[in-house]
Parts: sequence; C-alpha cells; structure tokens
Amino acid sequence: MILIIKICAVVLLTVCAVLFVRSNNKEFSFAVELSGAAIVLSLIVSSVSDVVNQLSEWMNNYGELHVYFTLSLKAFCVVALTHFIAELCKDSGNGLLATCVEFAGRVSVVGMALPLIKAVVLSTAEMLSQ
Amino acid sequence: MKKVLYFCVMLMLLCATAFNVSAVSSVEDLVDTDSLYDALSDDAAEFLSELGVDSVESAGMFDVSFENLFSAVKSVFIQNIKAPLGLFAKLTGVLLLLALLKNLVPDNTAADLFTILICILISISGVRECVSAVVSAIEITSKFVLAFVPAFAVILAVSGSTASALTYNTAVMGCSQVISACCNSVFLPLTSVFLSVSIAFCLNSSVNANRLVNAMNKVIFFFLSLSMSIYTAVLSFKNVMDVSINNVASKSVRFVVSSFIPVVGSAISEAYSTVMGSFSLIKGSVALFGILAVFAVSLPVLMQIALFSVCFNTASFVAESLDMGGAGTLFGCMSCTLKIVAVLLVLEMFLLVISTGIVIVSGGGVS
Repeated sequence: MILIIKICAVVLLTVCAVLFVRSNNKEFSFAVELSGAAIVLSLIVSSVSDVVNQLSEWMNNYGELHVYFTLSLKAFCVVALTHFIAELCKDSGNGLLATCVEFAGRVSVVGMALPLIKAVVLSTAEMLSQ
Repeated sequence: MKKVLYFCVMLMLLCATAFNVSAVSSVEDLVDTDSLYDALSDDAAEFLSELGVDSVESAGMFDVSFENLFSAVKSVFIQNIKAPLGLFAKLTGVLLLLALLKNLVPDNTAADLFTILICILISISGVRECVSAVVSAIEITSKFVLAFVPAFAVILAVSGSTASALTYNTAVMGCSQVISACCNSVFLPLTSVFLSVSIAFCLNSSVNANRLVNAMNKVIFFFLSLSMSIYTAVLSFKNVMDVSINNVASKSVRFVVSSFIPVVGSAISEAYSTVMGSFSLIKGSVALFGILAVFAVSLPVLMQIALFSVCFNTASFVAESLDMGGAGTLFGCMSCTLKIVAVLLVLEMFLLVISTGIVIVSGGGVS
C-alpha cells in the first residue's frame, strides 16, 4: 500500500514538474519525464523481484514446469521492457528507434521460445514415430 | 439251437465292433483354454478374477453380480484417475499463472505463444499415453481374437452349427485382422498426423483448428459407423441363412438315426438332442468368457481415454474463461483426437461382441 502511494506521489510530482518545465524549457521536459519513470521503475523492481522469487519458489517442486515458467517470465519481462522503451522513444519523437526496439524484443522472444518449440517438435515427432 | 447260434453271432459282432467312448465333460476337452488365458494381459486377467471369472468354464461366470462388476470398475477408475487429475491440476495452475502474467504484459502475442507452447508440452504426454495404450489394447484384443475365434468355432461346429461356425470363423478372424492392421498402419498414424496438424494450427491464431478437427472427426465416425453397420447387417443375414442350414442338417441327422437304427433309434435321436442342448450351455459359457475378456482388455483403456477427455474439456473451459482461446482450441483438438482413438478400440471390441452375440442369439443347430 505504501509503495503504491509512493509511486502515485512520484508520478504526480513528475507530471507537475514536466508541465512546469515544458512551459519554460521544452528540451528539459523529456529528461524530467525520463527521470520520473526511472524512479517509478526502481520502486517497482524490488516488489517485482519479490513476486518472481515467490513464484519461482512455488515452481521449484514441479521440475519441467519450473523451466517453462522461468522462460516465459523472462519473455514477459523482455516484452514489458521493450514496450516501455518503445513508448519512451515514441514520446520523444523517435519512431524509428521505437520500431527497432520492438523488433529486437520480438526477435528476443522468439529466441526464448525456440527451446520450447524444439521440445514441441520433438514430442510430436516422437508421437508420429510411435 | 438256431436261436442260440443267432444270439452268439450277434454277441460276437457286438464285441468285435465295440469301441471306447467318453463324454465331453468340460470345455478343456474341446478347446485349449490355456491359450485363451495366455492371450490376455495381466490387468485383464486380474479384472476377470475380480469379477469371479477364473477360468473359461468358471461357475462364477453366470453369477457375475452388479456388486462385483461395480467393484471391479471402481478399482479400474481409481487406478486411472490419478494421471488425468494430475494433468488437469498442472494445466489449471499454468493457465491461471500465465493469465495473471498476461495481464501485466502490454503485448498479448508473446503471452499467447508461450501459453500454447507450455500447454502442448504438458498435455501431449497424456495423449501419447492414451494412444500407446490403445495400440497395446488393439494388439491384445487381436491376439485374443486369434486364440478365441477358432476355439469358439470348434464349439459351434460340435454343437451342430457347422455353417455358423464357418461364417463366424471367416468373418470375425478376417475383419479383426483387417481392422487391427488398418488401425495400426492407417488410422493411428493418421490420428497422430492429425493431432500434429492441429497443434501447428493452434500456434497460428488465424487458422480455425477446431473446424478442421470437427470435420475430420465427422468423416472418420461416418466411415467407421457405416462399415460396422454393413458388417453387422451382412453377418446377421448370413447367420439367418446358416441357422436354416444347421436346422436342416440337425433334423436330417435325427431322422436318419431314428429311422435306420432299429429299436433304440428314437432313444439315440432324443439323446442327440440332449447332448446338443448341453453343448449350447458350453457355447454360452465360452461366448460369455470371450465377451468379458474383451471387455476386460478394453475397459481400462476406454476409461483412461474418457478421463483424459474430460480433463481436456474442462481445461478448455478454464482456458476460454481466462480469455486464452488458443489454449482452449488446443485442448478441444486433443479431446477430439482421443475420441477418434477410442472409437477405433470400441470398433475392435464390438466386432467380437456383436459377432458372438449374433451367433448366440440366433442359435440354431438343435431344434
């Protein structure tokens, strides 16, 4: 509860700061926005790691499920991170960079999915050769 | 003097033509019952002994109570429920977790891809288990048919149903081997290919895999039910004809015996009817054993498939409730594949049950 209050406060202050800076010096408003976002992310990181550790602990007893879950968690993190960066790029007017980041994210996700795809193909081939 | 001489000659003739005879006191005298038991799997033999059927001519065969049957089915159910329940728990857990994470991620494409891949990897083991169980059950049933049908045909022939025995032996042996060969070399590989295609389509959300699966299901069910209906109809008609031939043969034997054997002819003719009646009892006992044996081989596998199918259908419902349509379609495809596999086993099972049932119900041979 305290964490979310802190985050809301930081976001509110950042928005006010951005509005104030934008009216006086437009170039710095993006830097203020970026630093606000960085503060919010740093606040979230600890709680996210808590959640991830908790889930990993649950999954430890389930062998192969733990591997699949870890992979999907990494992929979801990649998706969230690239989406965040891409939005930042779009806000700053760098559409090309945003596209590049999104593409890199997709490639990375496909790379992470490859072991799973390989396992599916092997299982299917084994079933076909039965 | 002439009468004494005639009596002596008759006595000498009687002694000279005497030969040993013995009554058929049990089924073992007619058929090799050990080979019938050897053809069964250990699980099937255990199921039969739970029902109180320890041998082909077991007295308990006609006393199979609902209580014994319920108890045996219950133990099979308990043995088979663990794997589908475990799979369902795993699938539900994964679906709930991934649905939770999916809401945190802005782009759902990656989440859907990972959900489907993980669901395939978890659930494909269940389908493979069912398919290999069906392959094994079809092999055992086919092996049992090879041992049972000639033995039962011998009993049919001895009990006066010679024509029915010939038809039964030819039809069931031939069809069983054809079905077994078709299942192992055509239908089961086709089912695996079909499941693989469904999996590939599930990974691509733009293709509706459910429609393909349902269409394939309908085509397979149509051809299998059509072929089974034709087989049943042909066997029934053929059997009606055979019963008439058997009755004519039986009446001819009785007429010849009562007309051409002096003094004791009519008594022998009546004894012939009694002996044939006792053979009907043996026939019924062996037929019941055959039906129960096939049931014992197929029931655990059918129950396993039914439970896995329920598991996949429920998982499909859970996935669709959590807005994971791809996973829902995948589970639907897996359930349909299991239904097709189950139909193949039911076909092999019903071939023996229906054929034996037709032969027993139509009777013939003695009147």
